[in-house]
This record gives sequence, structure tokens and C-alpha cells, in this order.
Amino acid sequence: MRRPGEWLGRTLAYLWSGWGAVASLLLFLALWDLGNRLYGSFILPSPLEALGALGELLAHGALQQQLLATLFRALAGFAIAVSFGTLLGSIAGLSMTAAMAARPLVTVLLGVPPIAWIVLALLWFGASDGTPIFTVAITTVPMTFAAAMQGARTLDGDLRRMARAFRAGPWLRFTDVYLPHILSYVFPAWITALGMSWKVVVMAELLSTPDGVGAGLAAARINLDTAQTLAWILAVVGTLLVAEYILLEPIKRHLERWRSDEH
Amino acid sequence: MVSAVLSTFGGRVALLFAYGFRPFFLLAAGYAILPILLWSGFLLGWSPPPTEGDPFAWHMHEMVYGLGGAALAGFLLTAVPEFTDCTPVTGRPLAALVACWLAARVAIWTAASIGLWPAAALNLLFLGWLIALVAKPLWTRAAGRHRAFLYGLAAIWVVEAGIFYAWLGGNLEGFQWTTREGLSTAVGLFTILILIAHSRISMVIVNRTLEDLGDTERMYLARPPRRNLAIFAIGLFLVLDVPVPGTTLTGWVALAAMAATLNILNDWHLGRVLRETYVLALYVVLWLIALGFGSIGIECLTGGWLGRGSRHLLSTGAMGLAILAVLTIAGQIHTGRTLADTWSIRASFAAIVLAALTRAVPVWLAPSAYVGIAYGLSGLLWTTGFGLYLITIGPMLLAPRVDGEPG
Amino acid sequence: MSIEALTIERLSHRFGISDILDRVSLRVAAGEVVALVGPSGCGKTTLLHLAAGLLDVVEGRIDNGFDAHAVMFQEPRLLPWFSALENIAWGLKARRVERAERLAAAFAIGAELGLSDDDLAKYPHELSGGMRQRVALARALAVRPQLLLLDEPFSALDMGLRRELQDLLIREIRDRGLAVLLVTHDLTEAVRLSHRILVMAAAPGHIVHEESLTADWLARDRRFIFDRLTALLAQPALAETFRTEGAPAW
Repeated sequence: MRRPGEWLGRTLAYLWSGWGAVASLLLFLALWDLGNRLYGSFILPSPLEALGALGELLAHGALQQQLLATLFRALAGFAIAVSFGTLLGSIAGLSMTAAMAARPLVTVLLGVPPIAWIVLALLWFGASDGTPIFTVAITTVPMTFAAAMQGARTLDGDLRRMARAFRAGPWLRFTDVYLPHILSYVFPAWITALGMSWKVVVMAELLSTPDGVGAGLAAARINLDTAQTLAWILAVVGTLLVAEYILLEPIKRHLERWRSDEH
Repeated sequence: MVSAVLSTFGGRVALLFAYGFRPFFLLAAGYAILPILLWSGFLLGWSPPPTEGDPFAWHMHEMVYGLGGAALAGFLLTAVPEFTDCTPVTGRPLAALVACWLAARVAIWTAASIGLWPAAALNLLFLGWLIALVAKPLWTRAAGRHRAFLYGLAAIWVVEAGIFYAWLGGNLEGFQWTTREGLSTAVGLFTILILIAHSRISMVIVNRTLEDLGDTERMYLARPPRRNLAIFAIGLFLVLDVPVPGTTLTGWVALAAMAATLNILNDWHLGRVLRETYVLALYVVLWLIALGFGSIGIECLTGGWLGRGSRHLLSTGAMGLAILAVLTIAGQIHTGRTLADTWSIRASFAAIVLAALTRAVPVWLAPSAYVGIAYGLSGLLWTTGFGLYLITIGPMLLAPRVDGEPG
Repeated sequence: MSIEALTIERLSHRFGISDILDRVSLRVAAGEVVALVGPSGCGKTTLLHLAAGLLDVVEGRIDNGFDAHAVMFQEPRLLPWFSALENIAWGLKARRVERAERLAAAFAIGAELGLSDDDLAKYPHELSGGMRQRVALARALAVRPQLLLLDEPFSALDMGLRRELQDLLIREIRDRGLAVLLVTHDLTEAVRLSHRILVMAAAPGHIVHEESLTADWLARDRRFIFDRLTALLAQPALAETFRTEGAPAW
């Protein structure tokens, strides 16, 4: 039904539509540059200086090494949120009682600021990988849990009966009836959770670990190196932008094309 | 009124002034060729500079305000009556405007002996007159949609005044603003006018071509937010280019202008229709604008790595191709024809694009010994492009409409 | 293997403390269209769900001698994340038919029911109500059933669309020789489509009247339908049954 050329065309069209965003980002860089002209490089290094510092970090290999350490921690925490949060949430959603009992718990967990978790994690795990991973997991699990629970709660009984009337087996019912529905609830939550993990992990590292992007930021602060600070920020934001718009957004579009009007 | 004019004058001369596009398109195409031949000769060291004084300023001014002015006049005097349903300027008033343009050219060429004052006065008079002719219909009859064009025209007039002020030895306090900088600004303003006019022409051409191809599903829509973002970025660049030229600040804005222009191309990716000659020509105009601002941005951020030659992507490239495309499209449609897709028309478009690339790119890559050859080649391609126009479309401009309608 | 017929004997059913069905017996033979009519809450939908195996039989007996049956509901109940074509093929997917084969079958039956290639490529939310119900009908027919169980299949559609789909259904019933058990509260529909009409009364549901219609479908014009409706409503049992709902829906 769908030609491969069409897929390629759609991908190119998607990438091309990014020029508008690039234009506004470049205008932001101009504004940043203006700030540099007004306040000088000590307060606000120019975009080129920050990019230069980024290039230096890249040349030393420091950037890749620290980014990898951070990436590992963020993804480990995120993986816990995706697997446990989604699984437990789906199960809780199937039972009215469990859903009722879990809802206030989710509200409480979502209400605790990440910085409070970091302090607790420091007491429990010390300056190890455990602190950032725990902090990421505990702040993102409630998000995926709540979304999966909501998805499971809203499963359509009519569709379930239709599937039974056509004598669909349990596996087909799971893959074709339940899973797409729950995914449509859970996927946006995963994207939010990933963004959250990325921010929380840097914060946790800043306070707890000897390596990672957060530690790099802490070092730049101690050295009063504003250009390097901005370079780290660029690296963090850049990685997230790439992950979100090159990886997750296309997956999301593909999974949810049955909802949009253009496909 | 047209028939009255015809009976008074009779013959071809009367026909020439039957509609604004006829004399001005002919003059524009002819004037695209002559000064460039002289200029190329000078660049290659074969002939003395065409005038005394700053030959670069002379070259830029005659291309931007001489050629650009004639093309603009032909386009406005033809398009404005169509957009706003007002009476076109024809006959004696049109002949007078043409005379004014010719006088302005003579004044520039003879400036070495009679001074720059007559040139300044005649050039400003011509542009002011043209603006006065179209200002009223554009302002009152077009529900605001076309007013942006009027602001652009006014800016071009003001910049022309500034250019002559600097040329006459005036000094704008605090700015390194010379005639050449002024002319760069004028090229930028022309690209904004091109973006505005371009969207209206494209709506007609692209959708007509889609129809011809039998594509009923897709439709070309020039989305104003995309165009406005590009116009904003280009405008901001032109403003910053005066007080802080060549800085990183200006460079980022130039790159933003590039990205915003590339963003307009999203409207254009409609499949096979892009392979059709006229659609492709209009599409390439946008690419040249994007490449032009992109290379200016890189030049600013790297401290002059690409050299100023890359500005020819905007002038020779975007302006040249847009002018030739408008001359070709309007020249055929307003003489009652459908658009022909002949090899000579394709070749003329291709020649202008190649002229821009050979003028801009070798400066980045080639050792300076070869750059002279590139200049010569670029000039040759450019004259070929407009020469082909004069041969194929020129006779149509001197003949009555084929459908028997007046104009 | 039993004979090709749906036989229901002394079927009773209850939800909690309320009796829904009380010793209902009926039989649908091969190629026969039987309509169950009655007021809302008379248990006709429950009966259909029991026949479809969506509810467990507690008291009485249901003997379904047909090899295959398919159900069509009042709402289309399409899977929103699949295209119309994939939805039509889904019943076959549940029967483990190869992908290429089931898509080809879905394509053929979609075309038969007036769905264009464009419609088949669309997702359910892009289709109109009538188109969606067509897709649901195609999905039911795709599994090549001998028995169709229809639960008020067209009641959500407006008059024109309803007649159009009824005509389509008549064509398919005739061409395929289908047996149909049709639940409806639209007497006109029952008169247009069926060979026998069983009238049910509520609390608890039981059959109060049976009416046979032998005329060929082609012969059932407006006059015929009007006459039969009038005759039906003259029956005291029927008038009694439908009084609770006011005028019948024709």
C-alpha cells in the first residue's frame, strides 16, 4: 500500500520543516551575541566562544567521556521508569482497587521536588552512580506509572468484546487491541520522562558525582570559566534536542499516525 | 484610450508604449548586457574603466538601480493594474517615464564631465515618479496586502538618496557607510521585494502547472508566516549591516535569514511539479537567496573567509534570475500567450544561475590566477542569458498581442 | 458434526437478581433470516450475545451447527490504529490467515461493498459513519461466515444510509446464502429483511408472536412493507409489546 519512496519523502519533509526552528535558534544566537557585546566575555561569552570551548572539550575527549557517563545514568533511570512504571501502571489500571489506592501515592511522589530526592539519595548511596540513577528513577516512575494506569483504565470494552466475537487469541488481543491503546497514553509520558531524566541527572551529578556533565559544570563554576559552563549547557541541550527531534518525535508520529489527519 | 493612442502615433512606436512592460522589459534586457560587457572588459584588463571615479560603485549602481529600476518599472506598471484593477500607465506618460530612465543612464555615463548632481537628481526623480504612479492604487485599493511592497519601494528610494549623498562626498556621522555599502543594502531590499512579488507570481505559476500535470491532490500555498519570518530576518540583517557590518552579530542574523528562506521551500516540495522549467526557476531564486545569506553569514563569522564575491549570489543570482523569470513570464502572458517551454528559455535561466555560481564560488576555492577567467566566464554567461531573452521574447514585446486584446 | 442450523432450546439467563430471558426457544436454518424485535430491555441483545458466545450459557442449550459465524454490532467497533483494509482483514488475522492472503480477501470484499482504494487506505477516524459501518460489515463477511449475528447494525445511521446498507446486506445474504439472526427495534427493517419475525416481550424476555414473510426481497416494495406493518401492529400481542415505546420506529 505505501511506497518506500513515500516514506523517504516524508522523512525529508520532516527534516526540512526544521529550518523554521533553526532560523529562530539562529536569531536567539544573535541575541546572545548582542548580550556578549554589551556585557563582555567574562559575564557572557559569545556563541562562538562557547562553541570554541565545546570544540576544545571535544578535542580532549572530555566531552564524550562525561556525556557517556551522564547518558548511562540518565538512561538507566529512564529504563527503570519505562519498564517498572509502565508495567506496574498497566497492572494497576486493570484493577479498580489498585488504581484507587495508587492515585494519591502518585500525587505525593510527583509533588516531591527532585532536589529533595537528591539529598535523600546522597545519604543512601553516597557519591556513586546510585545517587543520580535513583533520583532519575524516583522522579520519572510516577509519570510513566500514571500514564500507563490511565491507559489501562480507559481500555475500550466494546473493542474487547469485538475481539472475542472474532475469536482472537490472547496474544493477538494484547498486540492489536490493548497495546496500541496503552502506548498512545504512555508514549507522550515517556518523552516527558526522558526530558526530565536528562535535567535531573545533571543536577544530581552536580551535587554528588566526580564525573559526568554535572561534575563538568561544577568544575567550570569553580574555575569561573563561563565559556566552558555554556559549552556544557550547549552539549546537554543539544543532546536532548537531537534525541527528541531525530529519534522520539518520528517514532511518535509513526505510532500515532492513525490519530492525525495527514499521514 | 489605448486605441486613441494607437491612432495618434501609429506603427511600432505606439505599440511599444501600449503597456508598461513592453519598453521597460526591452530596456532592462538590453541594459543587462551592455554595461556588463564593458565591465568584464575592464575586470580582465582589456579596456579602461567605463567611467571616472569609483568603477565598482558605478557597476553596482547601474546593475541595481539601472537594470533593477527598469525591471521594477516594467513589473509594477503591469502587475499593479492587474492586482488592483486600476487604469494602466500607457502612451505619452509612459514614454515620459522611459525618457526619464534613459536620461538618468546618460547622466551616470557622462558624470565624469557634467558632475554627479544631474545623475542624482534624475535617478531619484525616476524612482520617485514610479512610486508616485503606483502608490495610490497600492495604498487604497489593495486592502493592505500590497502595502508591504510600497514600504520596500520607499526604502529603496531613501537608500538611493543616501548612496548619492555618500557619492557626492557626504559623510554620515559615525558610519563607515559608503556608496558600495549603500548598494549592498539596496540589493538586500530588492531580495525582500522579490520575496513578496515572488509569492504572488508563484501562486499562479505553480498551481497552474500542478493543474496541467493533472495533480488535483496537492496545492501550492505561499504561507505568509514563513515568508514574513524570512523578510524579518533579512530586514534585521540589513539594519545591523549598517552600524556593525561584518561582525558575528550580523553573521548570526544572516544565517537566520538563510534558514528562514530555506524554510519557505517547505511550501514548494510538491513532487514532480518542481521539474517544470518555470517552477524550477522560481524555486532556484529562493535557493540563491538562501545561499547568498548563508555565505554572507559564514563570511561574517569567520572574518572574511569567503570574500565579498559571494554577495553576487544575491545580486547576479537571485536578482538576476528573478528579473529574467519575471521578464519571461510576464512578457509572454501579457502578449496573450501561454508559457512556452523551449530550450532557449531553459538555457537562458541556466546561464544566469551559472553566471552567479562562477562569479561567487571560484573566489572561495580557486587560486587568484583563475579568478579572472571566472569573471570573464561569468560575464559571458550573464550576457548569453539576457541575449537569449532578447532573441526569443524581444520580438513579442514589439508585436501586438496574439489574442487581439489591447495592451 | 451437527446439522447446519442454530438451535436454541429453553434458554434462560439472569443478571444478578433480574431475570433477562425466560425459556426462549428458536431455530435459524441455513439461508434463513430471522429477526428478533421487541422493546428495549426485552433481552434480545443478551440472546444474541449468548448465541455469539460472548456470554456463557447457564440454563438451556444453544447448539450452533454452522462452521463459522460473525457478529456485527450497533457501533462499527473498528480498531482505530489500523487502516480500513487492515480492519476488514482482522477477523481473518484472528484465524491465522497469511497476511498477503487476508489482505487480498479484504481488498476484494471491500470493493464489493463499494469501498474505494482511497477509503481502504484511510484510518477509521477519517471515514464517515456510513463508511465505517460498511467496513464493519466487510470485516464480518470476510471470515466467510454461514451465520451472521447482527445487533441493531444500522440503527445509528440516518434513513438514506440505512436503506443503502440494508440493500447491500440483502445482496450479500442472497449471493452467499447466509443465515442471519437480526436483532432490531426497527419493524420496517425486520419486514424488509427477514423470513420470520419473532416478537419478544420484556421482564423476563420471552417470545410472544411469530410472523412469517415468504415474499422475495425484490417484491418487498413500499406497499408490501406498509401492509405487513399494519397487519403486524394489529396483532394484540405486538400492540401490547410496543405500547411501552409509543409509535414503532418506521
